[in-house]
Amino acid sequence: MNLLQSLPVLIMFACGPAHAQSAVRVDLNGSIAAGTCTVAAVTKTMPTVGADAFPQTAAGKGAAVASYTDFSINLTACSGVTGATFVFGTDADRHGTERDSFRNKGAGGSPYIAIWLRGTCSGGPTYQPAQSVTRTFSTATYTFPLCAQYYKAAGGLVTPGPASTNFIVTITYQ
Amino acid sequence: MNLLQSLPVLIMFACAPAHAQSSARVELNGHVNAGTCTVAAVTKAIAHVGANAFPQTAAGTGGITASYTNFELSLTGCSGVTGASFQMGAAADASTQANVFKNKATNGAPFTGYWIKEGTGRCATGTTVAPGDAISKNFTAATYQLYLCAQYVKIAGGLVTMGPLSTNFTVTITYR
Repeated sequence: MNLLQSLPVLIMFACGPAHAQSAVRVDLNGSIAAGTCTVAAVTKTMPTVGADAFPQTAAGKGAAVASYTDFSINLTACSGVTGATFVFGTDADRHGTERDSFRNKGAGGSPYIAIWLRGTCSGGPTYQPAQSVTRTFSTATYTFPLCAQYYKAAGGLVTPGPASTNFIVTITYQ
Repeated sequence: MNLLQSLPVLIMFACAPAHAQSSARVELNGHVNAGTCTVAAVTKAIAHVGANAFPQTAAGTGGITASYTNFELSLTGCSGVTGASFQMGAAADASTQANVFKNKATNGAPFTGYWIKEGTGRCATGTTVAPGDAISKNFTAATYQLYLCAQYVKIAGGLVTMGPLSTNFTVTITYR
């Protein structure tokens, strides 16, 4: 019988006073996402127009050319962003009857005034509340041109007062 | 031994590629004011009357029923206008009698002029409008009619003799 086999294996490693060690693996994993752009809030003052600029019957509907107001949503620092989807406000921003326009939120303002948002006031596409529009970007900046105008809705005559609205544009980047 | 305990826990979160978003508030502030109405000029021909229709004394005064001529200032496109003040000519449009518009015709019939009356009662029961008077009216619709009536009137100083009779004045309308 082999002694080594019969004896309990008593092996003691007489270790020198080696310093305790351990190792830890560091993994750094990353990726670069498309990122976002920087976008500024927009505040525009639209021209004051006379009530005589609108249709003069309760049932009449129509825009006031004198109110055409160009503005834009300006996006900067967009490198890596290939495009974005813009959502213009929500259903709650719709005018009561002119559903494709924004309601007049001015205190005491005429309920028959809506604010019509278009690409260009004279003939651009309409951007109605809650509408989603996708655009492709090819540079680090992007300008979304818009134009707002007053629009008389049917139901009554226009009365003097504020003609204002506001909405949040939600921009989702690609 | 449970396999799960013996294995290093390798959990990888497979994150959905959440799209980055930002938002921008757009604020559009404007105003509609009362605006103005559209108003047309008025030209009226008034009937001929004989000099015998007027009072026949130099001191006599009075209007001529046969000359009663209704007319209106018609205002349209007034939505948003809540009212207006109509200033009917100026004091310079008056004859020697302050509430009579003077006869401005060349070689016009002497001692004549016009009374202008305002209101639906027209010449019969309307209110006399002296040159330069301001009339204030409230509007409730997109159109407004100011009812007026003109008539020849004799003023004191002499007898009326034949000749043309005409006047003109500017109505200044201030909206509110």
